[in-house]
Amino acid sequence: MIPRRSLLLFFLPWLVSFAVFSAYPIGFSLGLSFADYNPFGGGITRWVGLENYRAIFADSLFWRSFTNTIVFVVGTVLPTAGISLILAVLINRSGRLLGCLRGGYFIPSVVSLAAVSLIFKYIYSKQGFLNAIVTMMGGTARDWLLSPKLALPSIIAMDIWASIGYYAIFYLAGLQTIPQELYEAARMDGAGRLAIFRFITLPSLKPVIVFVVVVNTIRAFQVFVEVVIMTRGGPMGSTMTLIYYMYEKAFHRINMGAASAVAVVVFALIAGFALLQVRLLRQVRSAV
Amino acid sequence: MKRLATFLIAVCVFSCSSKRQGIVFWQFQRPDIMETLIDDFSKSHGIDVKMETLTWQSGFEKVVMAFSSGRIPDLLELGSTWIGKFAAEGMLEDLSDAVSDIKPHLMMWELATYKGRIYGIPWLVGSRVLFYNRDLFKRAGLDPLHPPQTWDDLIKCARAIDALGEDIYGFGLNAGERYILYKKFMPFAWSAGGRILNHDQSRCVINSPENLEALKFYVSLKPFSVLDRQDMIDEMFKQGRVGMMISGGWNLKRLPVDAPQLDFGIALVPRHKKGAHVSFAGAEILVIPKGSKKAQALELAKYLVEASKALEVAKKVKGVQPASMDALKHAYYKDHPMERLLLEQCMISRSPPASPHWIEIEEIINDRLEECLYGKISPSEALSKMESEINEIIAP
Amino acid sequence: MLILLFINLLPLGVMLSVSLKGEGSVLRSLADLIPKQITFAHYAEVLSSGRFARYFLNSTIVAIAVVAGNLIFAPMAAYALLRSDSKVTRIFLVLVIATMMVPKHIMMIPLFTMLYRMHLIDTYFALVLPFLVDAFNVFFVYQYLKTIPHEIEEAAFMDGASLANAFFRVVYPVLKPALAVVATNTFLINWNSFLLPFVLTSSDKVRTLPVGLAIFSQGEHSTDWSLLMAGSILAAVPTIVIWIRSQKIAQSMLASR
Repeated sequence: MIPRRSLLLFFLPWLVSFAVFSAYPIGFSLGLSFADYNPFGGGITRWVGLENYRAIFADSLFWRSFTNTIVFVVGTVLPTAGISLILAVLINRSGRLLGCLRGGYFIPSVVSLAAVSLIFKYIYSKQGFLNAIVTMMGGTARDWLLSPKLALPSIIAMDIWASIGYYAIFYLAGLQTIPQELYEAARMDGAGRLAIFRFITLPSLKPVIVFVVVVNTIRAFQVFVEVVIMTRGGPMGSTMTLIYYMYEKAFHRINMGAASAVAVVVFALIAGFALLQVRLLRQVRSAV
Repeated sequence: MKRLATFLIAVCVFSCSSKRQGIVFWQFQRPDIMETLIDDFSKSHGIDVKMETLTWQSGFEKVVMAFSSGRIPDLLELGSTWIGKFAAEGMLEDLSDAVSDIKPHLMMWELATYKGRIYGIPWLVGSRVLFYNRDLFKRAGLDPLHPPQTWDDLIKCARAIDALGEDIYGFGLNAGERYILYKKFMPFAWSAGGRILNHDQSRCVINSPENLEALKFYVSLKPFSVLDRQDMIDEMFKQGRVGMMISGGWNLKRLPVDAPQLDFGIALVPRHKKGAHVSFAGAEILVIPKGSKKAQALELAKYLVEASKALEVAKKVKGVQPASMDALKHAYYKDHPMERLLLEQCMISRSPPASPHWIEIEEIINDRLEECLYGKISPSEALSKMESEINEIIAP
Repeated sequence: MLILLFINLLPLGVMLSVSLKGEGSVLRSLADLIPKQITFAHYAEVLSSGRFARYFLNSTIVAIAVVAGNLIFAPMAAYALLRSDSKVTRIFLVLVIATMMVPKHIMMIPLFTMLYRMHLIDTYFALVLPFLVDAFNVFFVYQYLKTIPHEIEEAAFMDGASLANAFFRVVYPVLKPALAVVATNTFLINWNSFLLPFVLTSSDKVRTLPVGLAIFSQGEHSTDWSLLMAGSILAAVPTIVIWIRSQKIAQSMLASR
């Protein structure tokens, strides 16, 4: 039916771009993870086998970053996927008048994450607005970003805030493809709102849900900007994440080999997680 | 596709043919501050300068990337903590014999020196001084014209101001961020006579009675202090909520704009009863990477470090002062007592040893110090951990 | 809903407030959120400076080029991935997903070196070429295409249409809601991106807005908050406009279906 040969041509732009701008840098980094690399001359000076990996696995800060990253991913991915889905459904249902509200939800995602992080540093500070609100409601003020216990959850909360509007737009696009007739038929059969959501909306949105969860997981594993601007990994390594750890190894310690090894580990982690999620979501679907 | 290829070739040809004739200078200061200076230099010396501005946030990453791909400037501004690393890697021209004419005029040469050879020219210097809020001093019954001189004065003032109220703090202690904490503690250690490394930098000697006394004192400030990041302490000082802090000249730029009603003063960093008012010094060093146009780059560097030129930059940046000691004679420092004090503080400041391992050493000091401030380990534990960990790196 | 919206917008209120503050107004408490004296000086500083106009133009040129590339190439690749089900293309799909998973920062050095050898540093090409087909967009359109019945283009093929014809005439219009997302998302990411544009440019000639803002508002130890926030808010305006436009396109398209 479909002319297969010309279909291959459709791949071409992506393939060229991939080969030049992704495959080469990726291969280069993979190689570096097995080498000593001196950016100040000489390039790869020595092949060291698994030495870089051994070194990072022996570093307690690496494991600290590892745990923090997993906590960040778990803490941000599911809430974001859930809240943004509900948000999208609510926005989609609301009429023309409320349509402009969408803009309001989307705006936080429009502002650059760097600016948002700076503002949250303010909001989370001792005399910041969060403490003002908390004390107004009778709670006690806290050092959000200075407490080793609260710093990471505070960053997670900000991340959710900054990304729900963003992921809602993917759901909105998906919601718009669900034929209205399906809803009408269900309503005629006397289905309630929840039933409609469960038996029509959810299954039809499945590919988009997979996309949102997978993409957000990938992004969450690479959390970086927030950490650099708000905490630089502190206090006492409590917000150290893998990519920030990698970045410090690369551009502070200037140890490209170790940084590349971290990158490979992060890649493997993301791939494993994504695979797991796709499997899980597949099962959820068959259960529905 | 074909069109794209032609385009690419055209771009290549274009960028090759427009190959620069002058020199390339990479620096971190705001470009609008630098441009007239650079233009004047080009006109008077007949050397074209292509200036590139690096950002403070990620400038260093760009330097690393550029060096790794061979895209190297002729003259580069480098923070003093990096000199050891770059010199040890053999990236920099040895300028020892080329700077004898300007040597007596500039300070902080030790920051540009590695293993006895000079690898750069100090351009701008910066130090930390004690900022204090005169209104809070008055309210606490302290003399607003006599800021604390010694550690004992410091803690006395901190205690008195801290007692003023729930959201008023005597002093600002840095916590919660890397790279900064040690800069705030080391002046106390140095004033007490402590060291990080021994004289030939072969061993770490941080676990000394002097350093222990300093650290114990530093931690004893905690009950009267707010623990926060530098920018937040600066912010709280602006709000009039912190009585004293040790911070940098950049506050002189923001304070009058953001909080014109705030009555504050600055003073030399309080000293140990037997020591000097030592502070932490850093410098922006002009270095010439190997393989660049050394003669012209040196000409530009020597031009920029002249007292009047460096002063032009310092006036606008505010956070830094000229490395040139001739600047002190300049009328500007007569009319600007605070800037004058900053410059004087620079002259009695110390800086970390130029070790190729400095970055690792700094991290260790920083991390243990933070644990100590958070009360996880005692001062003596912190110092002994620092010493053994640093020795593992420099003398395994 | 409205309470949620309020909470959602509060941090932006802080930004706006900071950007409008006159001299000498330090934020001390919640009440200070409403500026006592409003000044547009920081906005004027950004808008009147010739440099920022240039940065704005550069950002626009780069963003438009990147968005255009992704709007054309990403759906092509996604469509080909879905419709040609062979071993090779399944590997391609894995490669697309894998590309998204590689930490971007580690690729900077080889990317920089490569673009430098191509003499593309400090040109628009360095900011456009590597980003023309984002794996993220390919994957999104691929997932979206799955929700669309594939009979729609069969008829066109029966009538003897070429692939390009069938794709751009029949499939492409159906993709509009997804394309709206691709456009918005690509624009957003590209428009706000800082690190690579900073590394890959060296002069005002091609420097983009976030890079310019960083250079002018952030000192070594201090930040010009008002300037930074005013700049960030101004920078957000085009993205909002693009988003509203693309939503309208998607909706009008749905209405006509």
